[in-house]
Amino acid sequence: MKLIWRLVQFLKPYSAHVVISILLGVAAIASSIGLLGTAAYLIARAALHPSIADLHIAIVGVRFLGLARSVIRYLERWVSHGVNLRLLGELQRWLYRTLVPLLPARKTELPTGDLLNRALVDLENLENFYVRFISPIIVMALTTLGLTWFSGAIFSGFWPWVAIGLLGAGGVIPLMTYRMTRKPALKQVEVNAGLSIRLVEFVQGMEDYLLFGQERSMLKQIEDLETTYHRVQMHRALRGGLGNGLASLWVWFTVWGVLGVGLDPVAREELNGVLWVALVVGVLASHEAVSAVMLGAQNLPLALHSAHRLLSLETLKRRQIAPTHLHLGKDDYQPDILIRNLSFRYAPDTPPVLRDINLDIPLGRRIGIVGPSGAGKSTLVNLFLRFWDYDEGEIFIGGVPLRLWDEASLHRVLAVLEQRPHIFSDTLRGNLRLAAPEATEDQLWWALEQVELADWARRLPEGLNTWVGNLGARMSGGERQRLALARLFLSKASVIILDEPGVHLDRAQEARILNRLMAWVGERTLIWIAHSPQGLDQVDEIVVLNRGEIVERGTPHALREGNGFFGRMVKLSSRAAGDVVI
Amino acid sequence: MLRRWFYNQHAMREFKRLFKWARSEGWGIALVVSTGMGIGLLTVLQAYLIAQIVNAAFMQHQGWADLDRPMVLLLGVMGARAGAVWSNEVAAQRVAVRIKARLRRALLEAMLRAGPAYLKTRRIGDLIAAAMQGVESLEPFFAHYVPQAVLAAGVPLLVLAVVFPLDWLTGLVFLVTAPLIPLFMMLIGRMAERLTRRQWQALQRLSEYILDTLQGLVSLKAMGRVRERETHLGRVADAYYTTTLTVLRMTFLSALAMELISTLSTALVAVEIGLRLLYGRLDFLHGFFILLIAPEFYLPLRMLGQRFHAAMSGVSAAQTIFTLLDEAETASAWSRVSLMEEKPVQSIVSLAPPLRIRFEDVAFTYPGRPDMTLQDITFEIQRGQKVALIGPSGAGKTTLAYLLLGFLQPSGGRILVNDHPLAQIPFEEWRKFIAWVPQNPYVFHANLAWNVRMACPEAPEEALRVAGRRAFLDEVLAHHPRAWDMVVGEQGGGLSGGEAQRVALARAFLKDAPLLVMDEPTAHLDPDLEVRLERVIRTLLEGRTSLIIAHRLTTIQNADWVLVLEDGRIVEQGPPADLLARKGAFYTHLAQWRAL
Repeated sequence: MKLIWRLVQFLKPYSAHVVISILLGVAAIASSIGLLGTAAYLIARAALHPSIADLHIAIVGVRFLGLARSVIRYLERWVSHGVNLRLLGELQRWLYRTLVPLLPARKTELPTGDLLNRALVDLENLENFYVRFISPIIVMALTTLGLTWFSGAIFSGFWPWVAIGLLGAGGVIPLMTYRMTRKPALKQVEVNAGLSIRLVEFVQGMEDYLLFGQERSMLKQIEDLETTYHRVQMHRALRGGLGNGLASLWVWFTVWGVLGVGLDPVAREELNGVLWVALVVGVLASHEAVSAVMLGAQNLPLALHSAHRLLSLETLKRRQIAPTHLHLGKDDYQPDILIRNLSFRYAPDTPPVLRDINLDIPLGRRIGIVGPSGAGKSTLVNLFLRFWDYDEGEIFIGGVPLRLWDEASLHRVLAVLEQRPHIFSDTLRGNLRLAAPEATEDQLWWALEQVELADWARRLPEGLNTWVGNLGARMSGGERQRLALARLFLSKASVIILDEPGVHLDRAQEARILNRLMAWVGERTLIWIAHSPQGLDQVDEIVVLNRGEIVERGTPHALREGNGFFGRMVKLSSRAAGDVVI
Repeated sequence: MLRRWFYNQHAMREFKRLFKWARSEGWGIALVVSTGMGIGLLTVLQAYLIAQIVNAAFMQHQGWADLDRPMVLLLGVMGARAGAVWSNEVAAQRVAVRIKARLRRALLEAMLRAGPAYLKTRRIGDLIAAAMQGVESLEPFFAHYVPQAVLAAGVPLLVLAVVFPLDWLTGLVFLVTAPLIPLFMMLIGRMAERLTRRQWQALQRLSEYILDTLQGLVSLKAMGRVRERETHLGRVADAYYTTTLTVLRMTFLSALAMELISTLSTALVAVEIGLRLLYGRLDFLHGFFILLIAPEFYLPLRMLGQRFHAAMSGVSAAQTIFTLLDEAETASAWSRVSLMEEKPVQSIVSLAPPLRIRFEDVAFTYPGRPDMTLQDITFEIQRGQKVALIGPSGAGKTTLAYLLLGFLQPSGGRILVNDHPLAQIPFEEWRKFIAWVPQNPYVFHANLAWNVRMACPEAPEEALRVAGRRAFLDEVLAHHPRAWDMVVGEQGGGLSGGEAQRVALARAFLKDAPLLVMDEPTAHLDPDLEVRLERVIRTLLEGRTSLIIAHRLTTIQNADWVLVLEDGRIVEQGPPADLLARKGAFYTHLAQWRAL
């Protein structure tokens, strides 16, 4: 109930449209019931051979309602689908705004693995929420009221039949159907998800299971799931079909009741037979409203499940960062970086990832940060990006604590090459411009030159307009990394943070590009996180992190000769263990 | 007319193929059709009974006492009609569920026959989407559209057959107006089709855009472009609304046309009957009966129109699925994988390890994939020799490995194993001799023990432990309380690259096959780990014949023989020291490295 209420809230901005579409919906049903009722009235009346003038109004009424029904229905669809699309847009923006503060900090806690794909499916399930659920229920309720009133007005014996009948067919039975199909519907989603996982494995893991002769066991697993899936779907169909049958039956029962109650009074002429005939046909026509509610009832479990999953995102704890509004002009500061007693842990019950880090990085200084995996190197980058906020200590940039910087100003100062840069489904130009919206064509080509992608881009039939979305899948890891590096070359920031820039590049190319990068860095500050010692000769200082602490620091030259982590790293590397040739 | 409209130009082929799939569900379809016709009959009967009862009370002043039998009968008819509705729905669903399962199975088997090489030529996401959502979206087609088509064909005919003898004038109205509905649907449907396709594309683009945005959120944050993207998101969404509204206008228009026809006809019939009743040219019983039946005459046709759009999306999914099926069928011509037989394959030749491999003038071409072409491949791997394969990406290294693994068959030349042609050894037999360590080993959603044991399901517990120890997997196990029972893959949280690598090595140890084919990882690992893994690989290679797609200098230096592949040809081969002295292609590769 709470969920439904929350969803209705999304409709608030469009309440005028909503009211209009509901009124139109009621009018459409009313005219459809009215058409048949009036037609019945006309025929019954005519059978009594009155003068033609007596039929005149009924004839006009039938013609008018026949026309009105279609036109009103058309308008109703028009308005309600407009509401639908707006609701979808609202939900999309809501999803984006909700996820922005959650990612990547809360990634591990987000409902399940493939959150993003599912979020889209969930949105689609909710897309028709208004048209399918809210509107039919209100229309049904008003139809019940109207027919009950009409029946009571003709003859007092009718209204309990009509009221109970329509409440049953449009209320109790849909609710019952919802209850009955809820479990199989959710089970179906669950089995479907399991089947998806197996299918992904079937496609992606084919090399592996084929060579180990496991294809039959793979197919068997899928077949077993398929059997369960089959069972669950049939279960759902049996119950849903039962609901549909019962709802129709209930409407017909109501018709039967109206017939039965009216028989004797009509025979004895205590009741106007013409109106009775009209009521019988009118109740029969209310089936249309019932069908719409039943359709909604059967889809409700999935919609609510989707709503629950999406809205549960709201309850996840946000990153504890107060938005700041400290706008800094371009020249107000010298972005020296001071790190003081910095400590951080991902969750209160996990060991600290960074412990008491102290580091001074004045403008123009280049430092390299190395250490075994899990030492906390990437965490440091994440703190600079404010994906997380640190627990203790402080990072100052230009004398201002990092948490006071607003996002826009911070990104004018800081450019980061993160570990797995995303290539957007956009043109090559669009991907580059993302980093520097104002960059000129020449600058874009220059940046591509720097990362040795210019020739490749020139060979593409559409050049910079090539859609890398489709290509992205076929771009090699190296090409993606270089495109991300090109974005960095376009940045105007004065502090550059690199997280393993050479990954996926072959060694010769890595050296050439890093040389250019060093030249470009020039007087800027550089923080370089590295796995291998290659290129690190060009930094002023190396800091070795281990288990969240600084265990070694000094010039590359001094550390190279020593027996510490960096010294070992260089020696192992020169024994060629890590040398990637191709 | 109706039929032609069903077989709408573009979709015709898919329609036919879909109906072919439906035909094998003969009994189910028969049940759907018979319950559908039952619904039609009961509908007419119900209307007739109601008309009779109303007539008796209204015109002849009969009460309950005279009408108890028709009233009870009516109750029975209503119950039977509800039952028919229920069984019709269930029967249709059953047909849909069965066809979906069969189609999915066919798709998987086709992919398997086409083999991993085919999968590499397609986007993984497309394949999975086709097998999952694609197959699912056929449900509305089989569960709703097909039964509705049956009703739309049957019920109006039945009504006509009943009405004509009673009142030819109304029958004529029905006969004239009924074809207008499919006619309008067809006309407007044709117009809407182009628009629908455009809307479909807009929707695709919108969801791709949103997905892309969400996936790239971290990068957006790193570049400080979160706000701009939100604005842009709004703009893309607006474009979607505009096209959607245009399409909706068309579909609503077609609905309007259909409803106008049916409601105006009903009104026309009502007035026409009313007037004749007035002048005593028709009796009330028949007039009222016809009025009751008029909406039922149009309803199935209108419903068909409503379900047509759901069916169309199913048909376009079918298009994708059938294309994949055909493609996979074609691709299986290049594949040696043919595994559908349940019976164990008889060993034809006996291969005594260690193996000796010979490629003689092997050539391979794959349509549309120049990077998978190989020519004049001739080399030999002596018993127990280590051969390193090097070359730039796109040179055909993976294709060569696939030929040796038996996924692909050469289009020319032959491969010999201990002097037996590989072509004569069935894939099922050959794979027992191979251990494969890929660059990115796949970890299945199961526990770690299953993931290693899949290499040799009948291996005893002890062998599993030994293999784990030899591949340094016990280090990974030590970090996890559940050790071998730890669930990995998909939802259980992935393993890191280094850990997955060790799983693959453990599989290779466990399988203990005489031929090892390996694609060395390129990713940077930390130096300590690299040195240890190198040692593991060295023990694994001992006593085995092996082909290694090499990326590391040490691996190349330690190889007995090196193949340099460029553009699908072996440009140089020999022991690494000799090649170095020759100062050819191999030397150039190394020089590039040395220049640093």
